Amino acid sequence: VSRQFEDVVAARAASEKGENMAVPTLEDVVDKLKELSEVDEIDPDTLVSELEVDSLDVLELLYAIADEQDVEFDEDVLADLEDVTIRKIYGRVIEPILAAPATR
Amino acid sequence: MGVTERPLSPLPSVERAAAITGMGVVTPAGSTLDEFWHTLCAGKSMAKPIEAFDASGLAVRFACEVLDFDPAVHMGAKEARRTDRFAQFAIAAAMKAWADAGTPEVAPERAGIVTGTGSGGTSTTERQIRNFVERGPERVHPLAIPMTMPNAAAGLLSMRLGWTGPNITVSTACATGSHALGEGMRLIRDGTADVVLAGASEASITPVVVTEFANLQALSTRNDEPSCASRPFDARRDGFVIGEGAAFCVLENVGLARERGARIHALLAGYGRNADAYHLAMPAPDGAGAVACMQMALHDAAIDSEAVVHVNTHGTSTDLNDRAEARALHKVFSGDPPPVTANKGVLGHLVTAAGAAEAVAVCLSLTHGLIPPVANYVYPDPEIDLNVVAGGTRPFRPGPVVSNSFGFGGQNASLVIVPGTDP
Repeated sequence: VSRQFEDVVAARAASEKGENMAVPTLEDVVDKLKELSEVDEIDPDTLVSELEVDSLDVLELLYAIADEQDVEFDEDVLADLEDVTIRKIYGRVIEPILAAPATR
Repeated sequence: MGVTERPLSPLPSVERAAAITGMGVVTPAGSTLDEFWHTLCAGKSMAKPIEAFDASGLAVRFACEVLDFDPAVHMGAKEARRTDRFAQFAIAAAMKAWADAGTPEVAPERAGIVTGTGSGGTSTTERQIRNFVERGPERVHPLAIPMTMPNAAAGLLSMRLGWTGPNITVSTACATGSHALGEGMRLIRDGTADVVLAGASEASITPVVVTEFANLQALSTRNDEPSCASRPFDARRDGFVIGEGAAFCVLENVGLARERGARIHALLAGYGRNADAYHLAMPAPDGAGAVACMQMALHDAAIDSEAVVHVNTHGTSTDLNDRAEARALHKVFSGDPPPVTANKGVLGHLVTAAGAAEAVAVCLSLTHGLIPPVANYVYPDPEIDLNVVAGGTRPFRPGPVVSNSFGFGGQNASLVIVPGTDP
């Protein structure tokens, strides 16, 4: 996921500040994963397989975001957990949210 | 050849028994052994209007709920979030039992777990069905399966304790708890395990399950007087009161338990299990299956029926069960059954957990030398000629006790529990 892409998300998140369903930032997603996994430190650029989180934590994260944002999540994200970072997962998760109508 | 015609086991019963060295409960009558026992002895029903959900539109609006349960006391937030209430109950009760046993040293591969439940995570299943119908398939929680599967509690306990021995889950409706203890005893007896945590849990006071039992005409409909609704063997009984909870026991090889100086609550000495082969939701009217099951348990314990001093009955407060069980008791005990009680008057029917909770009650009876009364036994049923303990506790001289559980599906289980000091 490019930094540019994240900047777009951040801008949109900022514009939606105060609304109920602001687009989550990478930091939001990391915080959510910390909360769900009960792991204190999560580096978004470390492979998930090297973090202390397990596959069920990631599954819960994806479900929580999709539920909150009322979108479907891409189950393929789970297929390559051995070779993926939270930043990459974030990109996959944020895609359908950005594609959804802004009036959500 | 009938069961009673067989010669008694050549082995002394102590070599075939399992020592009950730990007990733990989560019940509507309390979640410590002291509270549980004192509530049973008080003989007051725990039935109240349902608090878990709005039951105002249902035909039956009361139950025996566990009202003070906080999963956070027994597990972390993450585990609590990922487990259904039935598994939370199981973990809490099992860990209490393990603590009560003094957490003895055991080789992980020699430590087994036998849990029991009915449908598993019923409330989670109902929530996910609502999600599916109201919000679509994408909103069904991805962890719903590990949360609802009936064997979840057994798996979670194995992970918590690091036990790699036998790990099984039984499901035989209302006979489940007794089957779990009996199967646990057999793991000890056959040498497969030195220690077994065995018990059952149930958490199915949900809108759909309450309705299902109500529509089956199994539940009491005394909405205006819930505390009078569960009345086993009473002439005015009109069905059972659904309850929830869990009970677990630590079973140990008797020799090893004595060697480590364990406090032994009682010995689980005999186990019978069979089927009525008659009806999915009614007992055989003549109690034939129950008769054979009790005789099998007595034979297994190498104990004559004359030696039995008390029976903790299945006693559901349904017309059919109580009458059939009374007939069966007369046959097994040659027309003169020993004093009986039925804990469901106080607890309600804990469904799959009932047999395990009642086995704990038996152990406490043996310890205290008291039989707790049947709640609401006021009008004796002329068709039921039993020596029912009512109105208060009754002292007795501890000896062999039979505990019965009979399930929908016609599955029966009887346990023989004897004092720990006198096998």
